[in-house]
Amino acid sequence: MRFNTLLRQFVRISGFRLALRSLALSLGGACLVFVIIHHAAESTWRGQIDSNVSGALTDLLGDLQTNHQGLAWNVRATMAEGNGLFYAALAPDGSWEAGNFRLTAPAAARWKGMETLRPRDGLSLPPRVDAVRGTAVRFPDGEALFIAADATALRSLDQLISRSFLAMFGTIMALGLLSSYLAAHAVQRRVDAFATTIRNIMDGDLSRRIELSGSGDEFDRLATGMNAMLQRIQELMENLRQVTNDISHDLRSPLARLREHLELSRARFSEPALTDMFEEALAQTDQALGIFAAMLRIAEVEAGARRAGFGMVALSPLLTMLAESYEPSFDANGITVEADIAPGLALHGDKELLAQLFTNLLDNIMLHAENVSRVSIHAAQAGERIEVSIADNGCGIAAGQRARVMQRFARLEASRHRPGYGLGLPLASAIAALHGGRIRLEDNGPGLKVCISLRTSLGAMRLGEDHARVQ
Amino acid sequence: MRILLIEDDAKAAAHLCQGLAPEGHEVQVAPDGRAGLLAAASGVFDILIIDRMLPGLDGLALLRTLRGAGVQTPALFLTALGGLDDRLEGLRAGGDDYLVKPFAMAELAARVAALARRNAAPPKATTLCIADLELDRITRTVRRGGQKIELKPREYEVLEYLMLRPGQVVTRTMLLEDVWGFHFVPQTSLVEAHISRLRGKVDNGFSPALIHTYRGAGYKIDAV
Repeated sequence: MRFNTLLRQFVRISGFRLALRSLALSLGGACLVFVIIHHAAESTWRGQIDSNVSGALTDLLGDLQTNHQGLAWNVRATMAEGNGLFYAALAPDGSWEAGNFRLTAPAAARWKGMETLRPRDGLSLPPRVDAVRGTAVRFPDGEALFIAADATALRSLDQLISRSFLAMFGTIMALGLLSSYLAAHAVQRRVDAFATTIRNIMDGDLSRRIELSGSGDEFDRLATGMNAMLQRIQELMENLRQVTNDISHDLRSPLARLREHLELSRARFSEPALTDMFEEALAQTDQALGIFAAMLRIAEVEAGARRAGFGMVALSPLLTMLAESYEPSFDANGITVEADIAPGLALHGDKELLAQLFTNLLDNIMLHAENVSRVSIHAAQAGERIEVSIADNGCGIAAGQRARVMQRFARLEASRHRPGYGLGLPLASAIAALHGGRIRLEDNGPGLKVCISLRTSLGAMRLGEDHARVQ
Repeated sequence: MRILLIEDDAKAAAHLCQGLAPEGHEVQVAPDGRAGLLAAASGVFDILIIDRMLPGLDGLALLRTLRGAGVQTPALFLTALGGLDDRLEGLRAGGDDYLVKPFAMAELAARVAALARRNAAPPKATTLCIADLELDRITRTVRRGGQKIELKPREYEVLEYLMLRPGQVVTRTMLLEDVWGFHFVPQTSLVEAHISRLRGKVDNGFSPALIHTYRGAGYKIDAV
């Protein structure tokens, strides 16, 4: 299983695939070369044997014609000259007459023309001889003559060629696989380093850069380009942050001063009409300042720098505390709160931001949901995640509107006259994302169910992503 | 109270002086960090109110220097920076409280009063009493006129917080920060609902009413 996963992982690396392709090509080339060598060497040897055998046959046939001594006699006479060839003369009834090897009747019957034969084909040859190549001649009187030359060398050549081929094949294969593995491993390491750096940057650490190997290879060139791009992005982000801070400061300061003036002026007048006007003006100013604060908070959460201060947060006590804390407010509006919170839930995160996430969702029910009589808070562990849901049985949000309420400043028609800036859900969503989670809005039939899925640790998030990448 | 206000913005300083004067405080203004450091080091002030962004020497460095020199005067930071880490930085530099601009004058007045009390006598008593209301901090039980009152954990904490500051106005934000640990303001009346519950349990059926509401400012527990 582990090997398969590893193999699949390697096969996905382009360098590994390239190396495998060139390995297959080298092996194909080697095969072709060996086929040619083998064919050339064998046909040369075979041609030489065949000409020896035909020469000896011609001589013997010539002798037979001139001396009329019969086949057996001529065979014996030729053998006496000692030319190293194998002869066998068979009588018309198939019995052996003369020669230096014997053969069985089926072998004799099968042997026609030039053939290569081995002892196991029914030939009795001296032990050192592994194969012979020769021909058969059948005379009109029923006698038969078999002449063959030692073909052991031809067979040895065959074996030698195939053995060296296998050795060469194996070496190329092993070296090829090893170099493919090393290439893939090196590529994998570089790509992993890229991916880790990029993930850290996405997590909010914009100061990270991809390390160069110093070899000036294509990865270094790519990394140099990416580092330059990151530098540019960081500068732009820095500018944006500076501008945001300046705007927030420059706009907040006059607003704050306006507020101070309104507050001081209110104290000077006692007429109820004027006081009411001041109250209204103060409320509007506070609303503008509140929008600023919420916008800045979302930007701060989205920047991700907050992750640096993450610690273990005991979620069960936090949710229990929130359920308890909201109970009086809900109760005053005739709403009962049910909490089903699994004990011991904990996650890596920011306690204050998590509190703000759930607070925003509970506030939303209080501010925007109509005809609610019951709110249920549910939290449970689900593998590497904690699933929290906050559901009400009120009017809910139409399916078509659910995506819209997650956007900034989006407010449904029905809630225009109620307090709020349309930033509560976007902030909750940004906080969930900071914790490697997300928020879904579902129908609670009737009412709205807000599901918050959070990772128990960002380490788990990394592992999870790697796993997903390998699959 | 003698208050040293270190604030470079003359308008803001004037506004704060105007706001704090009715509370009976004597406010001296230092227009920059260096002047502020010198004045604060004299040790004649009961409370320091420091703007975080000052020309010359910024508020954090100023307070760090003072604390390094052994000046323990309670200090409250005022700042336009409402970031999540800004408050922590202020507290780490030795600040006792942190208020993000803009704020209601009543909020500042309540916090100044709280800082002044903190300096006077840290509460160590295990039993707190206001008239016939008794709170036992060890058994976490509350009685009024000898009759036991059942409180939810958060209600108990709100009551304890108020009883530790008798006669002193406690703002909604102070309760959110210190009882709930929230440095943000929920949009619903979390605090109001708790006070209302608490009043129903502590004051309903008893006389006199002990928990008082100050519109636009906060709450106070007092026998008067």
